[in-house]
Amino acid sequence: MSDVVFETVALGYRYPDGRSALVDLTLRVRRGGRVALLGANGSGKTTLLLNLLGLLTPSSGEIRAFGEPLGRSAADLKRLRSRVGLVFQNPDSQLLSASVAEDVSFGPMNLGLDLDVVRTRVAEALASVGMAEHADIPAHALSFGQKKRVCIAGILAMRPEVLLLDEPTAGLDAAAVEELLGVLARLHADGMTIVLSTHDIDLAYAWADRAEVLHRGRLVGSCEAREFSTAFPMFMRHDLAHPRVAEIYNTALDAGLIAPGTPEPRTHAQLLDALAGASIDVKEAS
Amino acid sequence: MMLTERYAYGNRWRAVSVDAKAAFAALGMVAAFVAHPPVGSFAVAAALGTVTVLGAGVPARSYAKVATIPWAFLMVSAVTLAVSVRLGGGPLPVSLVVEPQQGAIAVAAVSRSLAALSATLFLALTTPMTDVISLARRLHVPTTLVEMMTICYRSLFVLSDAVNDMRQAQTARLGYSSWRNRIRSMGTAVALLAIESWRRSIVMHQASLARAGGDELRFLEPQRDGVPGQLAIASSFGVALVVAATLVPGILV
Repeated sequence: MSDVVFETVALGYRYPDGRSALVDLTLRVRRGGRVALLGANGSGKTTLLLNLLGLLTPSSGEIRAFGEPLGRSAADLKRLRSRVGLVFQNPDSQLLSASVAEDVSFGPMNLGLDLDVVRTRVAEALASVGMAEHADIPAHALSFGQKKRVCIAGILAMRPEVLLLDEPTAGLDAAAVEELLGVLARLHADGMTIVLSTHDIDLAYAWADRAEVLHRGRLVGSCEAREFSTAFPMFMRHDLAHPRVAEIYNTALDAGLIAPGTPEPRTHAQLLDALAGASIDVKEAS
Repeated sequence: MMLTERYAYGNRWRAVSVDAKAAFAALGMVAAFVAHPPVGSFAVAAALGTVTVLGAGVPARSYAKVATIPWAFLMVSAVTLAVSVRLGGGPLPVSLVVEPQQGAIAVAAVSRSLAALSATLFLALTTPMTDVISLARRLHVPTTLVEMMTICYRSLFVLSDAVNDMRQAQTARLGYSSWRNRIRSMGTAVALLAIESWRRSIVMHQASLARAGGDELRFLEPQRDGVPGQLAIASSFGVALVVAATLVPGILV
């Protein structure tokens, strides 16, 4: 089995009106990765995801999925989409049926699974996103965050190997973001490859093991998690901020509030731990 | 949420199978057509209304509120059926007259429609649309129709949210502050909505393809327990209603 799930080579995409959305884009997504596609609004993140799933046809270049060139026949695309799931940014674009359970069943039904299997998968998928008790509630009566979770359940019920999420935290409150990250962590632990598009550098910093930075349709930088701190100037050049956790960590380090050699925190909670650990040391020393 | 929606999901008979409720509504419709108008038809309308209010537990006030608009339509139709325009023959060159025969036809048509409306309201106020659509699917209603129902019903809420947002945004910028502004804002909103629905239809199609969707929208049917029993009970009440409807005379003497 190929170690690379997606590979684009000099990928280019033009909108029907001639504007360039993606330019000469070459990147790889490794199996089991947690990839953040970082970029400001209009940088081409959504267009790239739609291209990866064969929903848009590239104007130039090549896409390889699971080691093979991405086929355009109906059968090829169906095979690809049964292995790769995409959660759209706006849940109202994705929910096709007003019945939550029905909507979640849509993907598994398209896979041609046995009805009993579909039923089990719908129940499991809804439970895994904490929406089991909402199966009989109409989609229009759900909150934005709940709709989002139903959308994710609709994809999980298809048991994809790769999960693509387009701006999954947009419009979610802090608690819902936490829950979403919990769900993603479980899926990743089960071996799923996850690609998430976002302009939220804090989210990428906390979550990703690799970042691909897009700017005006071009791939302008890539880095592994361990290289994040050296890549900050590059982030800044492309309309992305510094991760706040890293900023505070560095300031605290300079001010001597954190002992040198403390592992670099990625999340707010880890940062607080690092600060708390240091303050205990300070008290003990005095 | 719309009033019909609220009761469709929140009535006492929410858990009763759609088959049973649809059978009762269909037999109610039959009763509406076999009843002798106007008294028999009014009796059927009253019976169906009573079942909806007392049986399913839809508050009478809400029932009246939901029914007001179709009732108003019926009244307008009754007037147009009953009244005819006569040229000459009176003191004025043009006069409005009610011919006795036409009046009787109007009353019969309206009373019958009222009974049929009550049967429809029974179904609408006790059964969520998603259940009705899944029944249509099982009854082999042409796929295109069922899919249009599914998408239209879903889009109804998505687009009414969009309209609501647009209206609020326009109102906040005084879009409805004068007659002139009102017309202009409404025009803009209609144009925007057309573009918005087109844009959303493209994304919705992409989302369907992304989930390995093909030419047909396929969903899992809800599991149905205890359906034969409920269907038998509902059908016997429905048949009783049909029989009773034939026994009530059209005119009380």
